[in-house]
Amino acid sequence: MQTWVEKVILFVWCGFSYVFLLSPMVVVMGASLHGGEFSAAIKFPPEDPSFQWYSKIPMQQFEALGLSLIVAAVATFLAALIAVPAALGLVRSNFKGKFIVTTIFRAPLQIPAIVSGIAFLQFYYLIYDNSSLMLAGTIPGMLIGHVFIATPFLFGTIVAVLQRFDHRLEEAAHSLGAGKWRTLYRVTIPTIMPGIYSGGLYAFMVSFADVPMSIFLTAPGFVTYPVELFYALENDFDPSILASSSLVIIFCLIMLLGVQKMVGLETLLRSGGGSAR
Amino acid sequence: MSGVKLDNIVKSYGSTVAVNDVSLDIKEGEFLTLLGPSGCGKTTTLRLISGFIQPTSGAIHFGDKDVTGIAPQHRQIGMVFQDYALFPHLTVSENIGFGLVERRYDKAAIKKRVDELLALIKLEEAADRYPSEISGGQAQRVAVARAVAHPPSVLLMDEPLGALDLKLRETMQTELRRIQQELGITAVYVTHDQSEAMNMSDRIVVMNAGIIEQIGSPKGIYANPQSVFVANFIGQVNILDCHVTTQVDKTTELDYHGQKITAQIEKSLRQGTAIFLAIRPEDIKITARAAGKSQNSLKGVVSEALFSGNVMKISVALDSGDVIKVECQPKANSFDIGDHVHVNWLPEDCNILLN
Repeated sequence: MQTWVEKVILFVWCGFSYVFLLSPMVVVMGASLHGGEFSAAIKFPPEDPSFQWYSKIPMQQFEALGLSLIVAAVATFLAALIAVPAALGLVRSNFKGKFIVTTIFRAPLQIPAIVSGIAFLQFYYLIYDNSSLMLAGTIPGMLIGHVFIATPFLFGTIVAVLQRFDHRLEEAAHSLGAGKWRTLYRVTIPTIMPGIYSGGLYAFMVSFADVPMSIFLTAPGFVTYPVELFYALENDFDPSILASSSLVIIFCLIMLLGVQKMVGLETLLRSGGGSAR
Repeated sequence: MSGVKLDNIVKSYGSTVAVNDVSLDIKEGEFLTLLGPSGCGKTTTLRLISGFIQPTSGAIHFGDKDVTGIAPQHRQIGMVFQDYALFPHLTVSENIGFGLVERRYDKAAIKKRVDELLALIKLEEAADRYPSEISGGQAQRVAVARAVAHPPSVLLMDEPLGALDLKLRETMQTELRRIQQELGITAVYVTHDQSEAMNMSDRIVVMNAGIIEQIGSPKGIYANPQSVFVANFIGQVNILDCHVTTQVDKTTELDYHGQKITAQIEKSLRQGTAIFLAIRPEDIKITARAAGKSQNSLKGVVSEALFSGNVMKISVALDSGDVIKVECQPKANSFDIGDHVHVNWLPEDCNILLN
């Protein structure tokens, strides 16, 4: 039984955690409803609430948002194409230097994104100098960078899922007549799918929210959403930025809930089952 | 469906020999159990038959077909694992139909066969559930149905009931045996549980340290164990160190610490041979006075008396220092610790073990 002291401590601590995590978002969303005159300072709680700033979001922010969503989605997909085979290979093999190869796949996590950004930019210039192929400020150039920072997130989760993978499932498939590839397709991949989904969600978010690296790979007229916001904040702040941010927060929440409902429930239902009952 | 034949199978890992020169002839439709303690090579033997590992030397035949070196997916086997290994992302029906899809059955044929099997394992109502939503016993039945959906040459089971509790295990033994007989399938079953082996098998193969100790029917092995290991592993047994004094036909006189014991045995033994005399606890009677000349009788003191419902388990310390275990009817036997008694048994209940 909990004593009342424990209950109070639990309540206060949980409450504090929630406030700590949610208050910045609440302030942004609240301040976006500012209805008074133009103000360069954030007003919270909003005076005379209205949606006026929502109609004043510049068009280029929507364009940037579109670009960011596409880049994040494609980068996540490409990262999965690298991370899934890499994780499968590394978890199941045993060779000299396995530890080093595994570390390399996690390395992008340890490098500050701003350093990666500079490195990519320099690298792209180097390529340009030698082949007149310009990658900086292009979609392929941006994608390569985003795949670089997104891959470790997918790799990490898939490795974790594979380490718990019951290899008897594959033996069962073999005994039922399925060869190597059929087993991969019908058993292994579907079983680790929850891991791919959740790793993919991380990867998507990391790519979608990245400023420090993307800022080096943009070009005029080719700017990702968080970088666009960053410029807007730097140059001429007005509450429309808050309005635009609020829209993205709501969009992300809906997406998270959607994924949770789709993947989360299935994960719960399926990945725990089969063995160990 | 077919029989399975192992010819001089050896499997070694470096200098460790897991299976040492094992030959086995499993008949078509037979339920054969590989029994032994952990590390005896029974699971390795099963995995050799399944093709998940390949023998270092020797050959394996399914019927007339040499399957040595062939991958498991091309062997037409059915495999049941201890932790079921059901595919967590597929429903019960989809699990059962998995092998049928691989064997290119058409949709209608798959549905028909899956329905048939659901009826056989009495799980029609769970067809659309996921493995995480059914009980352990149900999961095991699904695993069996999945393994036999496309009729395999041989059904291989690796301690399939190990994860179940005792009551359910007993029900499932009957259930597995029923399914195997109804389908008339050749089955190889691995277990370390001797009572499970006795209940289910046509024949038992007792293994120890990579070799076959004895092959025989449950009754045959129990009544005539060929080695001390088998005698001890299958049921309980009392072992006495003896010497052969004389042998006239089957009647053999033994010397046990200066006392005469008569045994009726088939083997012919030379005078002076050191042997082990094995007597099952349930073949021994306890009396207050020595029994007649027709029986063997040794003196001792009751050192332990345990009442366990249907039987009374009494230990008697002999004058020689050996302790004899006796199982008897509780009603007719009321002996207490410290009582001076005689243990008696018939010459026919003697078993002679060499080694």
